Amino acid sequence: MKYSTKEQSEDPIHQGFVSLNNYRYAKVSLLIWLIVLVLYFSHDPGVTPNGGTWLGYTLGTIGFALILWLSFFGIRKRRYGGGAVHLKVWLSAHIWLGLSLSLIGTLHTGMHFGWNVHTLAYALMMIVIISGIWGVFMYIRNPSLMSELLGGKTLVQIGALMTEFDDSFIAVAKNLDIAEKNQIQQAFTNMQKEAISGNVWQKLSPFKRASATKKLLTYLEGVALQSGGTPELRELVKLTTKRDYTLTRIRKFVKLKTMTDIWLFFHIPLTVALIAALIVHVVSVFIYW
Amino acid sequence: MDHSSQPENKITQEIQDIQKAPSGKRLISWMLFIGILVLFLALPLFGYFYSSPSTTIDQPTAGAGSKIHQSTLYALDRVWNPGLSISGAHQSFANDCQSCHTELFARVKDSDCKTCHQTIGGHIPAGITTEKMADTGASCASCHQEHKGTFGLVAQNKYYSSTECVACHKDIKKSAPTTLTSNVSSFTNQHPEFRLQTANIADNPVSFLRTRMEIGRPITEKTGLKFPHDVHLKAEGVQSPKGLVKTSCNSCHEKIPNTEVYEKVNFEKNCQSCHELKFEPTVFNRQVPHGSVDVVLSTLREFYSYAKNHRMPTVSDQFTPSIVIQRPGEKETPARTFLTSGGDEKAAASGAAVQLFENTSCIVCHEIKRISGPGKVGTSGADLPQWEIAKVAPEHAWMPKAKFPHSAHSMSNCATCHQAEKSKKSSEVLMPAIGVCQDCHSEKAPMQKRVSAECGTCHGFHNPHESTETADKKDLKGKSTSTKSWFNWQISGINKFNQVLGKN
Repeated sequence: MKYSTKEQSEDPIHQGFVSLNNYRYAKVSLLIWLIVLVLYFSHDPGVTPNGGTWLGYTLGTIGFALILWLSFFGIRKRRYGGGAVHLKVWLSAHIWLGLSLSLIGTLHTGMHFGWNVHTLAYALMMIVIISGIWGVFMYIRNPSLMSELLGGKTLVQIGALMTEFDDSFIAVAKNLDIAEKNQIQQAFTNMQKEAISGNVWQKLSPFKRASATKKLLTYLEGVALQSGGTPELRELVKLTTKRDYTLTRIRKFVKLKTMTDIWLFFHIPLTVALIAALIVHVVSVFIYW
Repeated sequence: MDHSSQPENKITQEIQDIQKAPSGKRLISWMLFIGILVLFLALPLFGYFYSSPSTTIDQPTAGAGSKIHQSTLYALDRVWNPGLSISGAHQSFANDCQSCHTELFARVKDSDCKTCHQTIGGHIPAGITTEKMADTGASCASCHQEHKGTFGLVAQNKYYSSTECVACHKDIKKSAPTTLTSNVSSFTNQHPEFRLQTANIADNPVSFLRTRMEIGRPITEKTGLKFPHDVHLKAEGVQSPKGLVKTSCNSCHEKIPNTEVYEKVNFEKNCQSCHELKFEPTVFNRQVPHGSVDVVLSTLREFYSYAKNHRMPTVSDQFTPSIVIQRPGEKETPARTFLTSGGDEKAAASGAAVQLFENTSCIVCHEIKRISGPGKVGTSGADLPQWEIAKVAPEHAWMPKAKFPHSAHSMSNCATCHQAEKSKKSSEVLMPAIGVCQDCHSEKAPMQKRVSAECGTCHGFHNPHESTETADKKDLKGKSTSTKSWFNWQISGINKFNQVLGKN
């Protein structure tokens, strides 16, 4: 992970959350994988591997405790005062132990699946883990790309630039002295109605939509070609080009931000759903023991 | 940059929205949490408490035994079913959880299984007191594990029950202080020699006893018959009226098709073609029936009464009859005729009887004893000399507790296990010692060139069903040619064994 090894230091603040403390939690996770695999394949389950053997119950209990502990991260990360352990240490352990849960849970099933609450709990667990892996990649990849897009400015400053272009456009358009003046002003007003980000699909695919700014630019260029191009018209084309460029940057930023945010919509509600399914799983197993 | 001058600017508003953390996770979380609890816990529980009465699967044979149990409303509790792996026989009520799970938060009870399996026998033979036996805590479900695959629960135990068995049988005296069973912890390394069940024909009725095999001390059983296997299995063949005849195991021991049972050896079918029961050389096609002494004597008495007074079609002088008045394998003795010798018809019959019983036929296989007359009142042979034929041991299993499918071992020849070629006496029980089994079988842990064998491969757990035991008493007197009666012979062995134990 090149991103995280750049800043090696004793202090968790200057380390990547994946490689923290020389991959300490990765090593713990790997050790858990090895132990669990050796136990599983050396275990004699009798008829068929299942969650009811001593190893099955052991894996189930460990998995259950691990899920509760991993979920507790959601509460821990909101305690901004922090605790004795730095949040980044928590995150590193959360990621790696979460990965080892995938094996513990899978082996606990004994590879028996069906249309029932037990497999529902397993499926939810796996979706939560996969969404977590997605989140890790987003958090490694996106922050640097996003700050590159902002180019040292804040998003508010970039938004203010857009407003500035629009104000100038209105001012210049007033002085237009061509037949298409009204149409241009009308086209500009229509363009302003278009939202920057839109719904979630538009946020995730900014380049698939025909941008209203781009359409206005094409129109202005057409008018400029026909009329030979007045200085005002040239100024409008320049302003609109700048606006289009800035808008595209914002939309790229929005895409990255949405990708970084969206996994949490799976990770968190499905974790809560998993806890519900897990309660039913444990209770129902003992209801009909 | 006078962006502050337009606080309600649409762009500024949108930028602020973009920067906000997305909301709605909490709502979705609660909806999912409550939804799952309702759908998968509350609804099935509701269905459980609003159960409706239903009968356990139809049991035409059990009759009034059919039990009414509660069925969960709309089988809502099926979402709790772990996996799709109910055993084949139980799949018809796989979605009716309460047909087995009759109590919340309790394991399935034996009584739940016995709703249908009413006649299943226990593990400890009836008749042996169980007072001293420690409670082993074993239940039906200890061995028959449901929800573990579609194969049957009995087939399952053929392969996976050894650990459960050994848990008690490694130190069996702890659970059953009076048992004669030895400790077993492993088929390969720690399994006692077999016990052979033998019949004691001196007892009336015949009693049975199981004796443990020991190396160098062969177990014998008085059969009441003389039958040297070695003579009959000579490579060059055995002397017969038709010359040398080669016989093999199958000549007399015939397996009943599609069963694991061998036909009982039958004199008329298996012996008489060589051991003819002829008595009068001049009438060479006449034989006495293979039956009781009075039937044989009456036949002789009636034959000579008639033959002395009538012209019988006899063998011509030119033709030397190859009549078999001799022991097979022995030199021919000159045939004696009683028809043409002096004396009356009774003297002729008596002479033929003495010849038949003491020299040529009966004595060849049976132990006979001359006794004083008269014979059976009202029979024509009552005035002839009388004999007693020793009791013959009934057909029975030597290893009544073991399952052994001969068909599964057809790749071996009989001699691999039964050393009949060397056996000189019928009292030798030709059952193999455990070492012969261990030559090919090992316990569950795989061994090279060994077929694995679990306890259940050879042993059963349950005593026979009650109903079968009743049928057995009837079959003991009758002929036993079917699988069922073969099985019953085994049971009778166990029963007698229990009686012996009871005496002790």
